This record gives sequence, C-alpha cells and structure tokens, in this order.
Amino acid sequence: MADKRYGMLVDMQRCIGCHTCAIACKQGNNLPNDVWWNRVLTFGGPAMDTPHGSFPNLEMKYLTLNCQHCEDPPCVAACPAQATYKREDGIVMQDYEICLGCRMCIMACPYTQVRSYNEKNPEYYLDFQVGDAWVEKQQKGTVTKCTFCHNRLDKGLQPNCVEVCPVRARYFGDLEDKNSEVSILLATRKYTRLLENKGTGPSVFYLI
Amino acid sequence: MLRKEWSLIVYSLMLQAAVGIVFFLLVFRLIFAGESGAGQMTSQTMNPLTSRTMGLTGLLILAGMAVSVFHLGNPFRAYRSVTNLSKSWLSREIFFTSAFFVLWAAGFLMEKYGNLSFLLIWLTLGAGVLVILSMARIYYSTGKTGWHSATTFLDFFGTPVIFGTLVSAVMLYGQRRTDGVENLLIIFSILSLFIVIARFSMQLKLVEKCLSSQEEYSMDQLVGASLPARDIIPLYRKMMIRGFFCTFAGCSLILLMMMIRIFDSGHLLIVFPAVLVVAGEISSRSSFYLIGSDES
Repeated sequence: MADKRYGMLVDMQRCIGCHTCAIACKQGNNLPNDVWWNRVLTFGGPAMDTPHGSFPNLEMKYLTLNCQHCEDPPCVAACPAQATYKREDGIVMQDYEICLGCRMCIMACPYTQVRSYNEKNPEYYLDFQVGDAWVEKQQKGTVTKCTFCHNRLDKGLQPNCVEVCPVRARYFGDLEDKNSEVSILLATRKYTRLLENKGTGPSVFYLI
Repeated sequence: MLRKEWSLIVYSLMLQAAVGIVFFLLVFRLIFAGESGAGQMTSQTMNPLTSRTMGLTGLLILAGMAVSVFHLGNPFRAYRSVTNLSKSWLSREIFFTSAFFVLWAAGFLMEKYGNLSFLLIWLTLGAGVLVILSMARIYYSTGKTGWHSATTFLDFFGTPVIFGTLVSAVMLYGQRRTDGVENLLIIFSILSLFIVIARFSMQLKLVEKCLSSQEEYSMDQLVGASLPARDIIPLYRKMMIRGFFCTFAGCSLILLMMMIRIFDSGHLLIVFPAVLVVAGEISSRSSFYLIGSDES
C-alpha cells in the first residue's frame, strides 16, 4: 500500500456557488483563456446559477467538478503514450512534454469537461503570468487538467481551490492517514462520490 | 464538433475499406484458385482483381495513416503512441495498422514477382481484423452510451464488407467474368444490404436509449460524459438516415446491375452506386462520431 493517497472533500451543505475556487484555480495555475480545471455546476441546468425544481419550490444546488483523480483511472489506461500517469500519492498527472494531443483521455474519462484541450497556442487576457511561478507552461496541442496543485503540495501548501474557499467547503489531505481531517470527516459524515457505478474509485468525495 | 474528427472519419473508413479488399481478395482466391492451380493468381478472372486491388489497398492504408496524423495535436510525437500496448487500445490499433501495412508491402512485392502466397494474405487479413477490433474497442471501452453497444462492432466490421463488395464490383466492371464471380458478388451485395438494415435499426434503438436516459435528471447525469448533448440527437438522426438511404441505394444498385447483367455495358454506370455508397458511409461514420460527443 502507498504511504499517501491524496483526496479532496467538498461539503455540499456549505458550498454557496461563489466560483472562487474556479477562479483561484485558473489564476494560480495560469490557465489560458477558456481553459478551466475547476467548474461550478448547478443542478437546474447547464446555464450558470440555474435553480433546481419548479416554482415555487426552487432551490439553488451547486456541484463543483474537477478531475476526480480516480484510483483506477480509465484515462491512464487509454493514453497511448503514457503521458497520463498516476503518481504514488494518487494524483493523476498529464505530462505536457509527452502528450500527443490525441484526446483519448478526454474520450475515456467518464466525467464531463474536466479536461481541456489547448487547440491553439495558449492565449491570455494579460500579457504576464498572474499565477504561481512554478506551474508548468501550457502547450499547444496538449490536454490539460487539474493536478491537485501538485507543485503547491510539494511546498507544503494546500491546493488553490481549498485555500481560498470563503465558506471552507473544501478539505484536502491524506486519505491513508486515519488522523487527517479528511479521514475524520469521511468517518463521521455522509458522503457520495460521482459516478460510483463506473468503478473508477474517485478521490473526490462530496459531503451531503 | 465534427471539425475535430474529420481525420478519424477518413482514417477509419480508409482502413476498413483496405481490410474489406484484402478479405475479398482472399475469398476470391480461396474459391477460384482451382481455375488456374492452387496458389497461383494468373487466371483472367483473378488478374485484374489481384494486381489492382493490392495497389489500392496499399494506397488506402498509406493515405489513412497519413490523414490520421492530422488528428494529433503534436504529430511529431506520434512515435510515442505505441508505448502503452499493454493497456491502451489506441496503442494496439496503431501497432496493428503498422503490421497491416508491413504485411501488405510484403504481399505487394511477392505479387509483383508472381508468388503471392495464401499464408501471407491470411496474415494480412488477420492484422486487418485486429486493426478493426482495436478501433471498435477504443470507442466501446469509453462507456459512452452512443458507443458502448454492439452497433459499434457491427458498424466497424460491416463497413469492410460493404466497401469490399463495392471495390470488387468496380474492379471487375467491364472485365470478363465467370458466373461464379457474379454469383459471389450477388451474395455479398445481399449481405451488405442486410448489414445496412441491421445497422440502421440498431442506430434507431440507440437514439431511443439516449433520449429515454435524458428524461431522468440526476447528479450523475450532470457530471457524466456518457450521454450525448441533447441538441446533438436531431443532427445525429438526420445524418444516420442520410447514411442509410445512400448506402442502401448504392448496394441495391450494385445488386441490380449484377442481376440484370448490365455490367459489361456503359462504363460510367458504376459511378452512381460507388458515389452513393461512399457518401452513405461517410455520413454514417460522421453520425457515429457525433453521438459519442458530449459537447453541444
């Protein structure tokens, strides 16, 4: 068994759909225009902030979605060049230096739009890097996705989305460590994982 | 959406056509080799079929491989695509495509020097079948509603039969043929029609399945990539119907031309079924890529 297995928890009772996580992720990882690693979906429909239900029984319900860093990731098996790989700590990575841009990982992933494809040279609204200096440069013709901010983890920091959440709806830590905050929450709270029936074993848990 | 997939549509159709041609080459050899001695391809019936179809097969494989590169974001890294043979169906597909090409090249040279063997055609066909199997598995294993069904296999293994029939009919057009060859083409034309009808009925069921799954709204549906976007379905329906009618009409025309034996007259007549079948298969394959897309 690996020493560490990183996981993320999202408290759906606390999430207010403010999109701060999505923005912090985009900014911190210096993501090009139109590339999002982290999305905030609403249950009512595809448009932003669509209420769920029918009048007068409406409710706002949010679901944040990023790469689920599965235990058995279909994207890793599908990648013909081994550019998508899994680290020992459970983080599923994309090597931009190897990626062919065949988009097999996008096809194989059961979750919608957790990956983006840099079809053209990355373009930015600003002409200088706004995010962390240590993030990998985005490349044309490669697929890109959430890395659980692995560079920040290596420096002992939390992922961007976890650190900035104003209502503390996100938790991050080692699932193998029984004393970690994430393990304690999983032991004490009800949770669900997305598309459990696919058998991929996501490392992102939603507290309900 | 299909703007990104055009190279895959062309590649898959070209490779499947090439496999279909090799299959027909083998069938014709197996059945008619006796005319001029086992293992030899020198009879008047066989010559045009062998030499021309071997050339066409290579052309299709090479062109297909060249076109497939356009699908890659980084074509110069394409050499890395066979490094995950143990897990990736795409790696296997590329490996078997290369093997298919190498075996074809060996066959082409042997045919040129007059000793093309049965074994080599069998091996080439085997590699071709593995190419199609890998191709189908790539899409089937994604778990997408539009692809995770027997329709994918029927589509990918049916197209070689349809194209094989068409190419054989075109190659033998205007040639002196025996009744046996003609009867064989009639049988394969009927088989092609069956494939087209079966594929269409399965596609109709697929549409129903996609629509009924979309009626229930759930958390899994919100995040799942398995269902096609709702606005894709009318376009899919249109393309598959167009594909069905064109291929069906094309195969029917070939059958008709065989049955009423008008193959020896009017050389341009064969163009009509050929255009219809190619257009029908392009439309049908485009609809295949469309139904697997979750982008609206």
